[in-house]
Amino acid sequence: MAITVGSPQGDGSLTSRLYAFLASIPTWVLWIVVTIWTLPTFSLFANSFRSQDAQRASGWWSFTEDETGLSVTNYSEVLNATATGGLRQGLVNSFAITIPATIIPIAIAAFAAYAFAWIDFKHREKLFIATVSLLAVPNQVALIPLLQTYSGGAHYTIPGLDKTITLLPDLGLAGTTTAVWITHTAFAMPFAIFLLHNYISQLPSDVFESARIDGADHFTIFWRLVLPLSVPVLAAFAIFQFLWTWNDYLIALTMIGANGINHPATIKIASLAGEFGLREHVLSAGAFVQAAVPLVVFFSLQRFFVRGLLAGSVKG
Amino acid sequence: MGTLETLVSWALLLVVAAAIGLGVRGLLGSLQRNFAGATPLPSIVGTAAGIVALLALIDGDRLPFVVSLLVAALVLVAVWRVARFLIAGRPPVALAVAVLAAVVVAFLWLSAVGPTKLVGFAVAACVVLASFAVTGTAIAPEVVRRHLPNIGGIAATIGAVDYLQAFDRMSRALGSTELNSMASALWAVTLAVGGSALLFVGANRLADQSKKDWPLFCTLVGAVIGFAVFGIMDGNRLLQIMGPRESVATNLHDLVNRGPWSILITSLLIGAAIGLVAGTLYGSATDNRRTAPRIGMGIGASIGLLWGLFFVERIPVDTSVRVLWTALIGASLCAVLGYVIGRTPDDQRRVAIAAVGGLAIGLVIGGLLKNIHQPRLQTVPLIALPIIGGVLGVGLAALRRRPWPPALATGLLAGWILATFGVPTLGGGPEIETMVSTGVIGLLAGLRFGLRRYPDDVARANLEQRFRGPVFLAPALAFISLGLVVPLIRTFYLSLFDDRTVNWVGLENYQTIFTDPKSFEYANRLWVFGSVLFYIAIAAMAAAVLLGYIGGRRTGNGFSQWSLLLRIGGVLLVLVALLEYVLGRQTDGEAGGNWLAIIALGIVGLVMAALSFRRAGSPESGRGLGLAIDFDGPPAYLLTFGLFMLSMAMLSNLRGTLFNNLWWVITVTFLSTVVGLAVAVLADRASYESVAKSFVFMPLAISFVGASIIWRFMYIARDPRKEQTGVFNALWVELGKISTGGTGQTVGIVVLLAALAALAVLAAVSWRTGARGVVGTAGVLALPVAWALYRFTAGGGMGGTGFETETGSVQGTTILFLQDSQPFNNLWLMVVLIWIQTGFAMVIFSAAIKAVPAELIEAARMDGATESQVFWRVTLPQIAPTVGVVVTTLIVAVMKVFDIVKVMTNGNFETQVVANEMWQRAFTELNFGLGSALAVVLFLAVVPVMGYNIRRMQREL
Repeated sequence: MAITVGSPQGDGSLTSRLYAFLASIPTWVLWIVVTIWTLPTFSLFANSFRSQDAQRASGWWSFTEDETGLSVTNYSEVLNATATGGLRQGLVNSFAITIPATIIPIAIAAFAAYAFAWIDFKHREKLFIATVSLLAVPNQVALIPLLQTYSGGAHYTIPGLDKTITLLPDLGLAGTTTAVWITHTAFAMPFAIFLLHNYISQLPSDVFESARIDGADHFTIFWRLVLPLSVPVLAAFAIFQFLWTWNDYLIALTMIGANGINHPATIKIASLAGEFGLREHVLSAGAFVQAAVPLVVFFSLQRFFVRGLLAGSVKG
Repeated sequence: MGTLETLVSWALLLVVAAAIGLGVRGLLGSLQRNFAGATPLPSIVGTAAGIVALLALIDGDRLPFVVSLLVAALVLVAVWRVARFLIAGRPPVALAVAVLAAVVVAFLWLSAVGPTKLVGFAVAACVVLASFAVTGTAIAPEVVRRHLPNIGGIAATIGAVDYLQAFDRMSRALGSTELNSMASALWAVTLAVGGSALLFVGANRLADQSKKDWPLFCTLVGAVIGFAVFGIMDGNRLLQIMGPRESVATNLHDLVNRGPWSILITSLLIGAAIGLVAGTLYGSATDNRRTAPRIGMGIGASIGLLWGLFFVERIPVDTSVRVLWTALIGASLCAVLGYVIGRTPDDQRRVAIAAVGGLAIGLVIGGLLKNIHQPRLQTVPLIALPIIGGVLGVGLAALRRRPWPPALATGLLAGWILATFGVPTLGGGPEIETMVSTGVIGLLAGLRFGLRRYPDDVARANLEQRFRGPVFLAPALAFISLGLVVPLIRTFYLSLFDDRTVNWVGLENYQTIFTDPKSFEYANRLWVFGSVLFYIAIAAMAAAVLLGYIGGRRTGNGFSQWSLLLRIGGVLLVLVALLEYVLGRQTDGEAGGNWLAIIALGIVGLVMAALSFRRAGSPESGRGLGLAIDFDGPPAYLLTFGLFMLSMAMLSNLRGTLFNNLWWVITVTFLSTVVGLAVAVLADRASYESVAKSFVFMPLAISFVGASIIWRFMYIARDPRKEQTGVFNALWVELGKISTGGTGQTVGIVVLLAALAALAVLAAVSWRTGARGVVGTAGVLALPVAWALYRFTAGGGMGGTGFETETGSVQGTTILFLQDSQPFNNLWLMVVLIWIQTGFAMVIFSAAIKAVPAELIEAARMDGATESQVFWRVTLPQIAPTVGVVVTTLIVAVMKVFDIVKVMTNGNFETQVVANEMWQRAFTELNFGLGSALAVVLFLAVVPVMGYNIRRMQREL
């Protein structure tokens, strides 16, 4: 657009033809950018079907000339061989983390968003702003204390009395997928409340008023009116949270640690990548398997996803 | 076990689960349908028999149990028939008989089945409750109707628990870890969702009761308080309860699988059922049908628990069961007290009852308190502290114009607690003193509750309103405070300790961060003057000022914030001078750096700052300084670009983790925003817009780990003699071959000349039409083209030019993108994040551009603005707030970058960032102190963004 200029009246002269050409540059540039952006993913995709020898001999762009041809051998190898670190187990673990980490925050945040939007109580706005301002807090600040809590409970030693109170018992959560989704739930809360509040607070208030006049209490209103009306935003958040937890590496790595049996797919492929060339030929297949789930979600539910992104940023 | 068997067992399990659910449903439905008097018995028996038959399918173990169940059902039917025949028209008696029979049956099952068969208890409970329901229809239909869903819910829950248990057992038996982890995930979800749903719905129903049924509300509140107090006390091993206490470390999973729970739950249920029946009987006799059944249920549940304990005593028990048990006792005690308080509107009686009840509970606690916590009382504090507390309380009440008696009670209570458990040494005190201490605490606490006014309808409605907000908020706030706020505070705290979080070290960890050259290296700061980037930056900024000056001359508008800019600039210069002095002292010892430069900087800064306080003659103080620079439009963006290049120049010379992180933030944020905006603008109204946007957006769905792997394949470098498999090195090497000889060189020269010519024509034409922006753009684009032309002709080639092999063919050298040319290898890591985040920026900008009112753009076009002017002067200012949102979001996201660095270089080759450093220190070296300090640094870095967000939200709310 920067180099698009107002075109003078076209009369077939060289100047006007040059202008017509120049005016089409932005479209060209756009598709060049699109190509560049797609190329890395496509190269991974193409490579994942090539044999080990072919991958070593030439770049992915010569995949049509491979003598060994294209096959799904890499996929079956990465999924079935236990020696690769059990990517199948990793996928199961990813689901074990992702499903609760998606469902539970939705419910909890919907309650809170409704309360912030439609229930009157003291310091409502201050509390809301305080909650949502936590959006910017980097997760790293909570990792060490949370891990300590998961692996030993929470205890408070009263100063001077030398007496320790157990606030939370040791539930033996360190190294489990449960610890990961609990952490995800907590970390997702500010954004979830923010996103759902943006939507729920915009629902027409006369609906609520007439329901109140009919004698409905907040619980009934929430259950019968707000939840059905907010399905779009709930879906948007669900997609977000699903992608975020499925793709997470930091929290899973911290909370599960060395307990390999519980590692999600991200850690499995990261450690596959860390082997430096040992099984490089299945790495692209592994990475693609891990990415396939979010890509399917993304392409099938893109509308909801974009809507959520916008509600979370532009309106806010 | 083969696949077929697995499938069959799974199918069976599903069938059983469905059957149980349907059975419960059918039971309830038939009861409700046959409400009016027709006998529901056949359907009950039928359903029960169906459940039994299906249960028998699960495993052979349960066969004896199944048989006993069938027998029991027959007994029940027989008893029922006989009773009905004998005492027709006298329901209470029939009821009593039926209940008796049910209890007998329940005992039969218990002995036949043993304590761990949960289903046995569940069905026993069901049958007991069903018998009650059947007989109850005759006496108190509304009670049945009210409690039926609860009963069904409890029974179905137990059924589901057993179903999941079977599932779990099966997956264990199969030995498949995948099945097992799916099972435990199901477990976790069921527990978490079910538990929180129960809590949430329960809390809401509790809130309802404050308006509907005050005594019940008080009962429930009492139960909750009692549960919490006793639970916390026993959880901290303050109380001794009968029997041995085995401390078995346990996890959530085992917790539910253990037998004792089933006993407690079932005995609770059966007790509750019997109590309910008794209460209903009593209620129908005394015409108190509303509350009596509930009270009866409460008392019955307590008794049932006691009974359950009798069993629990006999088997090994872990701590959590004992804590729950104690907590339930406490809950029952306090619930009774709460009920009585709630039922007593008369003030004096209520106060008296509350005080006596509190005393009783206090005495119970005193009796249970472990010896090592019993205080040795001291006379002086025992008298002085409560008096002080009481006086303080009354004084505060007088100040706040509140009634004094509750305040007095609170004050006395606080003083007394301090005097009995705060001041004296604990352990080994006489029993009687302990009893007195806790008794008085209970008495005062009860008094305090009793002194609350008995609420009228308005007060109760208000209470309900006030209650509701916290009920809705509590789960979210609990997660936020436990998962974010408290850990945040604790991280601050831990950062002041050493690696094992034992010894207090003050700010030493922070000192380490800021003195370690690996994280904070400024020695090369003066090299910035030798950097090409620096001169590009200066040129861009100079061009911006020049353009702005020309624009200002033409439009007459001027930048008006000069005094502010001068003030900030002056202060900055003085600060730089001071910093230079300090750094100089550190590196040169006493000399303190370059004195002349320091003094000059300081003086210039002071003069600038002083100038800024000059009173401006006109509102446009820019004019007053004789400077009318119009920064609106392109000059502003040129200036931004200049500042970006300046920061690049500085951050490639200031090294270390902290500066590196800053470099990431600036580069990724800036480039993602700019490219995202560009794509959004280009795609706007283009054909196949949504397809193009989808593809740019797609990386956002790929994990950082996946993206790192993808880009590693792009960056791969192989032995130059072999064919390159990474896209970049292939291009690079190929470019090197082309530009150093052969036909490729000729073609390249021709293409480059053509491009240069095209740009020249473009510039010339645009100059005529007055599109200065295009002229400038063409000029800037011409520079790299000309440089490439130079390399192709006289500069010795470009790209991976290298050596010749023995056979004479030209081979290129490769680039090790992630290792070579430090520190610029960081940029190749940043590319990955830019690749991901551009899509985010694009989507948001795209929406913002579409939201710009069409009239504005039309009006600008009508006034004769060119497309580029429309963009720079209309569209861009309109979406400026969106830029703020995108930039802040990106800053936060980039600040904590971890995965990419961890996977691609793990911080080697000068690519370390704070998040990865923090992770390595904390979780591989287990230096929690330093790790926490790094996390705090990360947090402090986003505090300005938090402040900006808060201000934005305050404006909008």
